[in-house]
Amino acid sequence: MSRKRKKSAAVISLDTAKDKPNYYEILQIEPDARQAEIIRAYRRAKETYKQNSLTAYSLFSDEEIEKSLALIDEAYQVLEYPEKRRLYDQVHLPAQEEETTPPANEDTDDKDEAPPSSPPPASIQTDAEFERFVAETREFSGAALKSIREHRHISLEDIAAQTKICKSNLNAIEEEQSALFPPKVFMVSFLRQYAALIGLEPQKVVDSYPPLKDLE
Amino acid sequence: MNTLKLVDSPEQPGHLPEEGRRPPKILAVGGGKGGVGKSFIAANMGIALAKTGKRVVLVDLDLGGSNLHTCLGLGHINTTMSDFFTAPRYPINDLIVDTNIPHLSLISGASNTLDIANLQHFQKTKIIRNLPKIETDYVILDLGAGTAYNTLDFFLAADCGMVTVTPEPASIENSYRFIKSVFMRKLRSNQISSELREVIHQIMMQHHAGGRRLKTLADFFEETEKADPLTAAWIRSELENIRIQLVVNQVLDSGDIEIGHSFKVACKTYFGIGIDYAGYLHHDPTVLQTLRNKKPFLLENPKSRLSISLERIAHTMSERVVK
Repeated sequence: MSRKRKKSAAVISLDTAKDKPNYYEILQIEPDARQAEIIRAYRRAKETYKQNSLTAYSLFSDEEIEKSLALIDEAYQVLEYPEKRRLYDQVHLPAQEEETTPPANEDTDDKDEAPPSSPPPASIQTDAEFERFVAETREFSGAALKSIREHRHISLEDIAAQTKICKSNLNAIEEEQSALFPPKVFMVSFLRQYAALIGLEPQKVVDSYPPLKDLE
Repeated sequence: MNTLKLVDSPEQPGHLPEEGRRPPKILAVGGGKGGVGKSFIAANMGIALAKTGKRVVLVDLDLGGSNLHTCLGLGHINTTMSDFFTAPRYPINDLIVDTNIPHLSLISGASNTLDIANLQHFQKTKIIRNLPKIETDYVILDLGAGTAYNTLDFFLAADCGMVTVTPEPASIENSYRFIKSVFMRKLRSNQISSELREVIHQIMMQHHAGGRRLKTLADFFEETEKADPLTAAWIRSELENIRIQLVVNQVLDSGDIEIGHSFKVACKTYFGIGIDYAGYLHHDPTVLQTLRNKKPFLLENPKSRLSISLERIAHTMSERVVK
């Protein structure tokens, strides 16, 4: 690299774009990205700018990397939560886009069609309340995990495709069918990957998932 | 990633119908640094496509350092690219030699002529002009290391270009430099419409009119963005059309595989231009042994993980080149 530059082109365009950076551009996803895509994009972005990253040092200065990381966190902290995301979309997404693509607001759309078979825990009405419930949950049972996953519109197929964990194992986790569980070492690893993909703290889930305590 | 599906037209092994010969699809294998596996990948991708019944011609354009024939297990070759310049109307199809592998042939770069490494402008354009005349389904160009104009122009002549990196700093730095050079070269090439080229020229030459002197591609985009965001978007989409396909070679673990994703993210942030992550290839210690034995890897170890990944990447490339 001949010489370090002051600012990258993309950062400039973000600075001038109205006054707020576009969170979707920062995470390099489409405005209609699903929850699983947002989580994956966030992990990849963090990975790109991590310390000693092979892919970042020759293109960006330390200062730029720090700035990028801050923006990535900022974007994720909004887009991660459906309620915050909807508010953000209302303010920042161009109005015509919503007209041409009606299902842009996928959350409300899906809610209408969502099968009533597994409602989120009683008394939960808004997304904000739901996220509060998630934050306060101490014990993640199979049913709780399932409702969180469904609330975030992540399908088991999505998780299976990304983690290469077979769908029957994922089902067993949610249904707490301990007879079908693989040996504990695998089970812990599966649970971790599953938890990460639905946006939960893996360790918290592993520590509190009830059937795991009985597993030797 | 989906399961492997290589044979897409089982009823038609090989030859295309003769109704008005279609030009071949041209793939290039490049990437800044030497020794990252360009020739190895080109050769084995050729074998993989040939195995599906497609006709493939490998073209060794690493003139002066050519060894594509070695990766195929071939010895001395009599007809090479040097012969192309011995007569004004030498047909490019006469340069094609057999490889002993069904459906796969080669235009070798190996030559003892001293000046073949330094192609003159008319020689380069002669090659580029004639590539679409090769009678085959796929042409795979094996490019040399570095960012010489000849290499960049061959890369841009392809319908789809692969950039090969290995998970180590020098290779990644060189690949960024290669991609930048490809972009810069394209902005000045006749692949860009003359009116847009005029705009680009004015921005690049603005320092003559008292403007700022532009040294990097990022500087260029910064200035263009300032002048007119729409033009900047247009230029970006022109560059995105190159459809660079990244392949990470010699990966050892999942961290190395992630490098491809990070590379893609960094390119998008730095250039504002998307590239594709076409796949990765595992490090395999038996490669060295088969190369020493002068045997084609994919045929020697057809069941190995590396061979399967090579076939998958060949399939991906053949799909990307269609769109």
